[in-house]
Amino acid sequence: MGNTPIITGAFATKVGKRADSSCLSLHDEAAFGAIRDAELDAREIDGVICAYSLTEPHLMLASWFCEFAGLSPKICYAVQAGGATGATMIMQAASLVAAGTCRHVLVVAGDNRLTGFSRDGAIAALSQVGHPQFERPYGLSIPAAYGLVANRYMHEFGVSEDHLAAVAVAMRANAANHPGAHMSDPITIRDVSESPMIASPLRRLDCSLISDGGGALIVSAAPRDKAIEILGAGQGHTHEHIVAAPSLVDFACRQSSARAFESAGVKADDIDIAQIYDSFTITLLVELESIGFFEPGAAGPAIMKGALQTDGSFPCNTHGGLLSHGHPGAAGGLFHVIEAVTQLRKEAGTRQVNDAELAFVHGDGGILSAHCSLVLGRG
Amino acid sequence: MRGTLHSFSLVHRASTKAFVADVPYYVGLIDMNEGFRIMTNIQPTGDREIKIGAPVQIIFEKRGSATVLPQAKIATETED
Repeated sequence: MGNTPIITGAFATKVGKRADSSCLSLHDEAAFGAIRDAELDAREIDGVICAYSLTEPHLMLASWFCEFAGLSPKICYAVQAGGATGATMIMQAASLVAAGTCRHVLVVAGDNRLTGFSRDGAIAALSQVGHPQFERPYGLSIPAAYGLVANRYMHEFGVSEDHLAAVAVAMRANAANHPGAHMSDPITIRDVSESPMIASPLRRLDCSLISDGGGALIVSAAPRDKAIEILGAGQGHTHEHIVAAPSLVDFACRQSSARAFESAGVKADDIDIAQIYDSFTITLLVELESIGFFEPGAAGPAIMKGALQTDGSFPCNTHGGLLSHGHPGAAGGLFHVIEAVTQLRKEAGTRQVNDAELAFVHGDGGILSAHCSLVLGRG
Repeated sequence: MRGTLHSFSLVHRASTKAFVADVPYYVGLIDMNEGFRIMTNIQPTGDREIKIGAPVQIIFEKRGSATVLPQAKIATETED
């Protein structure tokens, strides 16, 4: 590898209801926030990687954004891997930098999913990921697909609905320490268990939010102050549709994380903090156990004892995750990366984890289908 | 055709408007005795419990003029 890729800039917009926003304005706000954070001039950005938008779908979102923002990079394209997009964009930017193709790659995503269209519109748009012949005719929603995983996982490993609820409670508690979070009012396990059933066993508070927001990072070749190294990355892919998944309890986050740990030369035990995709409570619980941070069936009881909180045994999603910090689509995956960078820089304020030197970030897209893992460390 | 219920979810919030009238409805993954897995709806039958590992019978239902969809019912161990 030529240049060691480092993260020199990171910025997350305020998340939640942003009635004044559009997909492109959120991109712009996040992108220039990250460029300022990296102390770069916009003309120094020679690579731009965007994701996708549900509110303003476009075949060439990255080109449209560069036109909107007045950028003329050497490299420009969009990446689509569902919820794995954020981590995948960082992995791709790191490759461009390592190969010497680019010196400063802007990675940016944003969407106004909350105010950009109706909730039914968002749910219907997301349901299109179901297989047109083998899933959609049966009314499969995304929560129902995760409900299939949850019921099987609970059946095999003795996980209870309270264990799932504890994930939601933990994410809300973490979000309370982040000034930009979409939802920060505390909730209890009882609040989760009394929230409306969406698709059994998942209730409303087991599901991530629908938010407006944007996030951006700069991946650079040159050493800088405040730089965070991208030490390793890996992916894993087994299926797209849940009907074709080889297992409902063992997913490619196992291979993805193993590849990332191997390329970074570290082990799961070495990780100080983790930021892991939490589209549903079951998503985070499955990934924590599949990646090896907890034995199967052990994450739930540990989370009930506060394991995932800033002062817990395994601080995770210290910004509150997609469940409480907010979920504006691909930017939601970038928030996990941005929070890892913020923690490694020791800039997380009241939610700062002591001695955070090595961070793990994970995104998953589809129904635990497409996985991308990153290992980040202080340079 | 018969199989075993691998997992299920009872959907209370429809994926699209087309399913609003059906809520709550079951979606399940069935491991067919022939060795492949399919998704279907599970139609409740009397007091037979819809649970993981339960034997299921596949029936075919006509939807509109040109579509036939497999549906599942929980079977007893002995019926065909």
